[in-house]
Order: sequence, then structure tokens, then C-alpha cells
Amino acid sequence: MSFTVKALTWHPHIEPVRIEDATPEQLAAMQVTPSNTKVSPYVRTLVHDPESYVARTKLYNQIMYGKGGLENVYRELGALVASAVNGCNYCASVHARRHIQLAGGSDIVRALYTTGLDADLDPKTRVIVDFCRVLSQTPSAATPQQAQALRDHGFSKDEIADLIQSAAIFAWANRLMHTLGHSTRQD
Amino acid sequence: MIQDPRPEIAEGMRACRASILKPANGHGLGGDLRHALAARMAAQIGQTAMAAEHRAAMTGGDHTTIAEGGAAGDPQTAAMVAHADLVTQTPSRASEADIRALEAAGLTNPQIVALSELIAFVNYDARVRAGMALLEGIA
Repeated sequence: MSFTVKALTWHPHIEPVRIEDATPEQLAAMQVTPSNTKVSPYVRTLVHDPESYVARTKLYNQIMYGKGGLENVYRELGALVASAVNGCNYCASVHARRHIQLAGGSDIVRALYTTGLDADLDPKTRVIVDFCRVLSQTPSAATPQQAQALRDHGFSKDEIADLIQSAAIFAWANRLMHTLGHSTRQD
Repeated sequence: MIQDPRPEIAEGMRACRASILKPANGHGLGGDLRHALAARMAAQIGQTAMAAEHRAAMTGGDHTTIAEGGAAGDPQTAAMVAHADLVTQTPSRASEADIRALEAAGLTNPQIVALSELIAFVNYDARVRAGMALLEGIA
């Protein structure tokens, strides 16, 4: 039977911007139009500072969905490992589900969710998890040998750069989502 | 500093850095305070060159002590420093009480979000720099 990760709901610790109170800059940042007025509490929380929200969203989309380079399934693994290290259950659940979709199976996510980051994994996945884990936890402790291990598993240096970005952008995203709110199970 | 090999990502990082460190609307969090907190966090993460860059970008001496890891002089800055230290070092331990502490110190919602973005961005930037430096060293 396939392993599933349940969707969570995020609740902010501060009052999000209400659409009816939003400035023109905030409305533009949230891409609110007459036909699109439904904006998530997360976006309405971050849009208290529209400049950083707009810039980060653009960078995030390039890192996670940019064409070419590292296969998306590995970008999702980088996101998942970072989210596990940083304790962001919401981000972990989203990217675990995307990883299952892209991987066409739930073996890796099942192992990580049931055993943790020390789970028994195939050698290539182990190298990716170790690298993203140390980069998330203690970047100064990451070694050239760990980067070389990725090269030895066939990743180009540009692909490793994409993996670095995928893990690093969740050092950012987790530190917003996990600190500005909390998540609960959907009933 | 070594840039990302993808030009669109390098450009995206530049735009983010500007939005965080030189925003058109800083919500009352000044440039020197931002650079001082960034220098402090970069040092905690082990990125000494990055910390030096942020210290060099400061135009006055008001926040030198916190940039160098010391205590803040006023309660509001102290609350921001405490939050930056917590979220940089142990993000998983952050809770609603930490946001309430920022409110109690007088921070508005836009200031809480702007501070959170600064903390989170510096943690991102430090990891990109650490990772790209490793890539330089391998074939």
C-alpha cells in the first residue's frame, strides 16, 4: 500500500492583511484581480512587506520550477530535507507529496517520515540527504567530499548548484512559515 | 562571492538582497540595523566574509555592538536580536510566544514580517555562499 502524507492547514500568529484594506502595491503583489480575490492567509501575512514578498516569490519559482538543470524530484527532496531539519511540518508535508508524485512512488518519503533522516536509503538518495542536511543544519560543516560524492553519483556541478538552491531557499521559506504561524491537520 | 551559474537565479538573488537590505519602504527598520543583524547572523552561521561585508556596509556606529555579537542597548532592539539569534540557530524551537514577544516590544505587523524576511534571507544567502564555495573546490 502506498504511503500518504496528509495535507495541513496553516494558521498565522499575526493578523494577515485583509483584501479590503490592502494598498495598491499589496494588491499587485498578491496578484488580486476582480476575478481572483482568493488569497491564502500565508500570502496575506507576508504581504505586510510587499517588496520582499514579490522578490522572493520570483526567485523561489526559478529555483523550484526553472526549466533545465536538476530534475524536479531532487529539488523536492532538497526542500523536504531542509524542512525536516528546520522543523517546518507544513513545508515538509507539501514537498513530501510533490516528491511522491514526481518519484512515482513513496518509498523514500515513507522511510524519511517513519525513520527520520538516518533512514535506510539507496546510496544516491543517501548522498543527497546528507548534503542537504548538513547545509541546512550547519553549512560551515559541509565538506568538498560531500559535494564530490554528488559528482560521483553523476550530478553535474550546475545540477549540484540547483540542489544547493533548493535546500537553501527552504532555509528561507521554513523560517517564515514555521515562525509566523503554525499548522494543524485538516479534518 | 561566487554567483549561481544560472543568470536568472543570480539576478533573482540580487533583487531579493535589494528588497531586504535596501527596501523602498523599510517599515522603520533602518539599513544599519539590517546590516548589523545580518553581520551577527552570518557570523553565527560561520560565514565570516559575509559578516565582514555587512559590517562594512554600515554607515554609522549605532549598531556596531550587535553586529559583533554583543547585547543591544534598548529593549526593542534586544527583542529583535533575540529573535534573530533563535530563528538562525534553532528555527524548529520558534513558537507563537516569540511573535508575541516582538509585539510586546512594540513591533508592528509589517515590522515583524520585515524582520522575519531579513532573518530568513540571511540564512538562505549564507547557505548559497557555503554551497557555491564547496563547488569551486571540486572538479
